Amino acid sequence: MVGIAHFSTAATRLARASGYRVASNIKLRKPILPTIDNIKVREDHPLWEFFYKKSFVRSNEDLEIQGRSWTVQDLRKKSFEDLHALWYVCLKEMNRIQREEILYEDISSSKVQQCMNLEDSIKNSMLSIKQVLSEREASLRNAQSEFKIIGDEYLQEFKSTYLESENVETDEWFDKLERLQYAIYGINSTYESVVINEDFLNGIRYISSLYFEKFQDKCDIKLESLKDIVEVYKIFENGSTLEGFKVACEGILEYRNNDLVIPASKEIMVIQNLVDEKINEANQIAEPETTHAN
Amino acid sequence: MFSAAHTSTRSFHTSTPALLKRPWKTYKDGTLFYGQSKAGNKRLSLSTKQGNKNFYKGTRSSGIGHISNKGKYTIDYQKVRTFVTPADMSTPLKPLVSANVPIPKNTFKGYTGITDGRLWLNKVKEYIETGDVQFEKSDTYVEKY
Repeated sequence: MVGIAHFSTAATRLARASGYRVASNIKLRKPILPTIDNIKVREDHPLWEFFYKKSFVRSNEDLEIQGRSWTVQDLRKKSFEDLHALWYVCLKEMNRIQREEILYEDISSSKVQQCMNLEDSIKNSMLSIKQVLSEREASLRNAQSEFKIIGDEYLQEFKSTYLESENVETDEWFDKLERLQYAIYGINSTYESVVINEDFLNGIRYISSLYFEKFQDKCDIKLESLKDIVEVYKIFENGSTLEGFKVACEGILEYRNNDLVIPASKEIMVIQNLVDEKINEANQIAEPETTHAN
Repeated sequence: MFSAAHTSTRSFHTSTPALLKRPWKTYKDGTLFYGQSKAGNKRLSLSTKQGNKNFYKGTRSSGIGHISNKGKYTIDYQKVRTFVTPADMSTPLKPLVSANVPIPKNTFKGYTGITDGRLWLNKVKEYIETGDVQFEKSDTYVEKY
């Protein structure tokens, strides 16, 4: 016994001495029975997504198919955001109905078939969404390959109407050019999430060629041609009006003093830097206002 | 024809299922790419338990990192699957449509179909000329077909 006492700790010895009494600072409460009524689940618990109107299973009326699936024709009119949201609405409904189906399967209920029917019609909606999205993808691909064939002709046509137009310093023309550069070259006028690639370069080349051919004769400063991509970019940035074009020409003359010519391999990098500068400038102008407002 | 190195590049096939639906293709030595026969009813996608020693069908649940020579697994978060949920989940759309709503008819006169490149190019031209066409929205508006 002496040996065993050696292993006992001070706390257990104390408890033995006081007859295993519960410490005075601990309050005993009634035991909580483990029944379903005693379990409280908060209202916004994420797992409620698996329950139809927070019920165990849905009623007989709700289990019947009310309505029809979304068809491809219905969904062609919807935006991507709508389709995205609808996909998740369908997915959640699938989860709910499949959960109920498992319950009915366990008791071999005839409602399993009803669940499956409902599942099928929801699945058809989801298939239509996929169909519409793949249609759009294919359309884009086809339109791009079609543009390779007839695109140059269209751009040439657009250019001639621009050059023939008497007054191009109107909002109508500014908007039209903005839409053209966005639709064909993906250049957003605010440079929002812009990617500098070969398309971007082609876009600024095209737009600046419009400005250049339009204003070249009216401008006092005579530039024979645009020598490299930086000059093209300067015209693209400012050349939409005659005054802006003159400013751009002055900038180009200044730039030509450096005797720099950007090689084709570095064009993207150089334009990336210029665009980044432009974005930073715009941010710096925007920031003081926001801090002031705060 | 289909060596192990070839299957990873998939040659002209667009997807793995497309590749798997070609059991009649054989290796250079004449053995089948997979399966026992070339019969048509065997051209279904295989389960994980089927196929020969070269066939591995995963569960799309692994391959998200690499194991080091010390035996530690490093997860590459570029490879981890993510599910992008819509910004606005509170859409009024339901999984099914009322049965009273007629199905709209789409006609593509003069074009081969909805995926015709010319159709969309003309739409782009129209957009460049006129810009976004704004339709008035109202709660009582009923679409006519």
